[in-house]
Amino acid sequence: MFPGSKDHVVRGAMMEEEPEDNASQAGETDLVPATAEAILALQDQPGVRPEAIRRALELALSPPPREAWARFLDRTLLFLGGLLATSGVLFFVASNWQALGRLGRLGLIEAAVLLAALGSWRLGPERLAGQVLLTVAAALTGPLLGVYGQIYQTGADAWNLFLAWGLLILPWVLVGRNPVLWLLLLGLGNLTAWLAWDQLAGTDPWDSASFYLWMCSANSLVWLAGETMRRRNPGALARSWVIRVLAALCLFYAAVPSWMALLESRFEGPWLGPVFLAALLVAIFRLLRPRDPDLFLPAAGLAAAISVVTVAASRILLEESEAEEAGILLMGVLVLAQVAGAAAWLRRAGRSS
Amino acid sequence: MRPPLVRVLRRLGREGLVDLEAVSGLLAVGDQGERHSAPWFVRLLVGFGAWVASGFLVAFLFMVDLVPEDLGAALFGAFVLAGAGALRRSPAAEGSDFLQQSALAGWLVGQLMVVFGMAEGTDSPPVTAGVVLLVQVASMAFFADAVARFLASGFAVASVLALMLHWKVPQGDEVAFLLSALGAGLIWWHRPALLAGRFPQAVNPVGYGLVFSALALLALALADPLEQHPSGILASTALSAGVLLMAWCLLGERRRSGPGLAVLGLVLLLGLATSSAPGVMAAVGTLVLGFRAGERGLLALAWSFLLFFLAAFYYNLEVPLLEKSGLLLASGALLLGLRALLRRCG
Repeated sequence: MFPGSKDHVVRGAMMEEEPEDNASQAGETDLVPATAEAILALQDQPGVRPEAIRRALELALSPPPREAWARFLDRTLLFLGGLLATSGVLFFVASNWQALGRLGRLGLIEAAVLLAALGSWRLGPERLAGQVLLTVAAALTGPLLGVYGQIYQTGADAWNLFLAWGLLILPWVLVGRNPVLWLLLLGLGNLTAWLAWDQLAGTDPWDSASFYLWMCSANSLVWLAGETMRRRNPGALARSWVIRVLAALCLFYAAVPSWMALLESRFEGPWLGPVFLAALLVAIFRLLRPRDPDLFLPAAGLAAAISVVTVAASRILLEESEAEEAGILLMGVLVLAQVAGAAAWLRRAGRSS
Repeated sequence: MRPPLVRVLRRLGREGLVDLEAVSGLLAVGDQGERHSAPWFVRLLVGFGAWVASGFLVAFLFMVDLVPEDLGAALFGAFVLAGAGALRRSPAAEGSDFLQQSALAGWLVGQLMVVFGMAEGTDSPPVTAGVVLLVQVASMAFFADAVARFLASGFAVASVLALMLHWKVPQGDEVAFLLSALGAGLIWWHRPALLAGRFPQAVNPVGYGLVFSALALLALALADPLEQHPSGILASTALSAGVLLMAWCLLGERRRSGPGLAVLGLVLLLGLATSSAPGVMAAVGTLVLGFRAGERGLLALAWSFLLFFLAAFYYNLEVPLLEKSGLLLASGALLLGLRALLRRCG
């Protein structure tokens, strides 16, 4: 079944065919895509013969039409070419090629950033190529600062380098309205905080409950801003996966101090972690869930809650109990029961959405 | 990426394959089937939970000395596997998530017992790997659980890798990668036919499992913890040939046109340019398979792997950094240049 073949023509026609009834009369089920799961569910229905299933699979799963392939090729060449070329520049900077000289290295990468930014400005951020060029310019700004750090010995992992990178690309992120740029900025913000905690406070951030709680608070504020922005102007942050990453980060920053408090009880505010986690879970299940059919946030919330309950149970059943064998068995059953409960709830929620 | 089910059903009705009046009823059933398939993150949660639970259960079995020694453990594991399979297929498990999770955890416990028993009892890595491979094939076909089927494909690839390493096959990890990639390619290419075959529910999980295993093996080969010092040339050459074949088939009659020749030439040149970085062609191949099959999951897997591969490639010591930089810049320029050319050609 290749482009140009009979089946391919059929699939093309399937994609372009106008629905027979008026669009205004279309029910919710009319939007169900013809996936393998949907078609295979029809197998045991009365009046559905195996030939019908075979034909339905043939119609629904045959390759996309030629125009779709052309679009795919165009986008893939752009994204892949941009990614490989940007990686090439990054590798080049890291190779610290002495033959080029200090100014040569600095000038080369500066020229690359400028060209990408100018190209994006000329094409406009509303065009795909403009977006890719803007992302390339933002990604290369960091290596530019890194080369500066190499030449003037200011350090390539100093917290202020990442802060400067984030601040420099902030206008592009705001103009670009591109989820990849938002994610880059988010990553830079978190990395800056991590390095600053390490380099200014002189303590290992991974070992500090306060670090996690501060990071949880800061990321939660960004998440709140993101949700508000999404509701006011869906175009600004339309892709919900930026929100997904933010939510997962917040849950992670709340879960880790909860585990630490339960296992080691050595933090100044041992119950703050569980309190933060509980607040996030209330926000996800009470405030967001009724408005948002996306199941990722509830699934991530349930995973974080399961992890904390499991750690608490291990403390009680394994460390403080004398019946170790029974404790191990109970732990297995507890994990099974929690995951089964979570999966059942998520399935029900998915079906009712 | 898919046409609406309603159009497919109406078309079947017009072709006389289903009753046109039954379409609305069938649509509701298809809708339930579509909603019943859990999203990837729910499957990930379920799979991870099963791993943790089975770890506790295995530890319990050993602590209370319930596990027989040597081959007895393998036999015990086989009974547990059969019991878990029967539980998963039972009508009671259909409506109970707890029983489904228990069956999955039991299946993992059985797997671990079989591996442990065979390794202890026979002291022969190839026999152990062979038996484990057979157990995986049986699991993929008969254990009615998507997570188990996905994991079974990964375990099968791991068994093949163990066999390659035991027999000291030259570039064994690359050969295991190629077998996994070939299996994945064939499954996704022939998916409609396989879905209409005897094990339709196994097709997607096994297809995903093989793609994931192939990409993981490639990343493993790059990190080289097994000290095989792979050149990557074998994987690169085979991948380039595979992508070229796919492009040849997809282009159909247009393969002799200007754009068609440009695409084929690009695949050849990209294959040559990235001969020491097989991850690029692996990602390209996965992208093509994913787009052709209309599977967003495969596309996401390909892009995620490419980012991971580039990071791992950075730390790979086989190729100097400056050479890697030139290779990536040239490949990027090649792709962007071809895009400009194709746009100019319309």
